[in-house]
Amino acid sequence: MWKRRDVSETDSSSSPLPPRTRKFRPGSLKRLKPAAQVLLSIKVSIFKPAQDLISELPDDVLHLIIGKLTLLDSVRASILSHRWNPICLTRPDLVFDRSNMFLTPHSHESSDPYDCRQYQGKFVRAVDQVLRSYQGRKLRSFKINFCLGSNSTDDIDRWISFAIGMGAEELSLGF
Amino acid sequence: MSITTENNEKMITLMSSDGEEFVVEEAVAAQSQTIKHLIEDGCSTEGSIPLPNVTGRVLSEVIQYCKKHSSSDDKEEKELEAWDAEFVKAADDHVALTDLMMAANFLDIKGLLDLVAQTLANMITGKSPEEVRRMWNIKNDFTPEEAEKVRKENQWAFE
Repeated sequence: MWKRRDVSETDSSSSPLPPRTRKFRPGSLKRLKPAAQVLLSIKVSIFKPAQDLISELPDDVLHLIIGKLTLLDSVRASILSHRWNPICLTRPDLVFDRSNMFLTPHSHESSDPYDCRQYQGKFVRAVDQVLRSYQGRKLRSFKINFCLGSNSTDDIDRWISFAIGMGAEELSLGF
Repeated sequence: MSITTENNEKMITLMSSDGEEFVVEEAVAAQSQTIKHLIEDGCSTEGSIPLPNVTGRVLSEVIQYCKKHSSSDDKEEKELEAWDAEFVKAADDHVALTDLMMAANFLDIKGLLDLVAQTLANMITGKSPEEVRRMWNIKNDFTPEEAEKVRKENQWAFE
C-alpha cells in the first residue's frame, strides 16, 4: 500500500495538474511499490470474478429465503451448489399442494375446470421423492392438500407416519 | 402495540463500522431487537452504540426503514406495503440486498429480514438453476455425477 498523500501538501494553486491526477501520479506509486506489482494488483481487481455474496449469508438467513419459495422452486435450488443443497432439503415447513408443486394453468377463473386427477401419479411420486431426500431432523409443519382417492390410502399413511416421526407440530390434510 | 415518542423523545447515537454517527429516536433504534437489548442493558448511556458489522451506507438505509415503521400505525398498512416495495426496489441489486440482509440479521429486525428475504426469493422464483447461478455468481461445485444424483433424487422437480 502506498501512503495517502496529505491534500494540503499537494494542494498548490501553481501546480499545473488537476488534483485528481496529482493524487495518483505514477511516479509516486513506483517509489513505494514495484510497477509490476501495481499492475498485477490492478489486473487482479479488474478480473476478479464477481463474488458470490448470497452464499455467504448465515444458514438461518438462507433458510428464511428458501422458506419463502414454493416447494418446486426450493427443491430446484437444491442443485445450485453444495452450500445450498442441505439448506433446501431441510426446510421445516412442507406444503404439498398444487400451487406449491406444479406449474399448472390457473384455471380458477376460466370455465374449464382444472382436472387434478391427471396429476395424481406425479403428486404421489413427488411427495415420496421429497420425503426420501429430506435431510432435516425436525418438521414444523406438514400439509397436504390434493385430490387423492382411496387408492392412495397406503401412501397417505406412509406420509403421516413420516410427519409424526419428524415431530411435526402442525399437521394438516385435505383430500 | 407501538411505542410512542410524542412526549419522550430520548435520542440514541449509533456508530457504524466506518465511524459514521447517526442520532435517532430511541423508538426508531429499538425496532432492532439487538439495539433494544443493548439499551435495556444500559449500553447506550455512555456515548454511542457501536455497530461493528454495519457500514454507514447500509445503516442509513436501515434507519430509514426503522423510522418509517416506527411512525406508521396499522391503519396505514397499504401505504406501508407500497413504501416497502419502493424501499427494496431502491436497493437495486442482490449485492445491496445482501448487505441489507446481513445488517437486518445482525440487528435482528424481523420485518426487514422478511422483506428482503421475500425480495430475494422473488428473484429466484421461476428461474432455472443455471439462471440463478448466473444472477448471483453461484459456483456450481457439484461433479456431474453428484449433480445427476441430486437431480434423480427429486426428478419430479426437474422434469
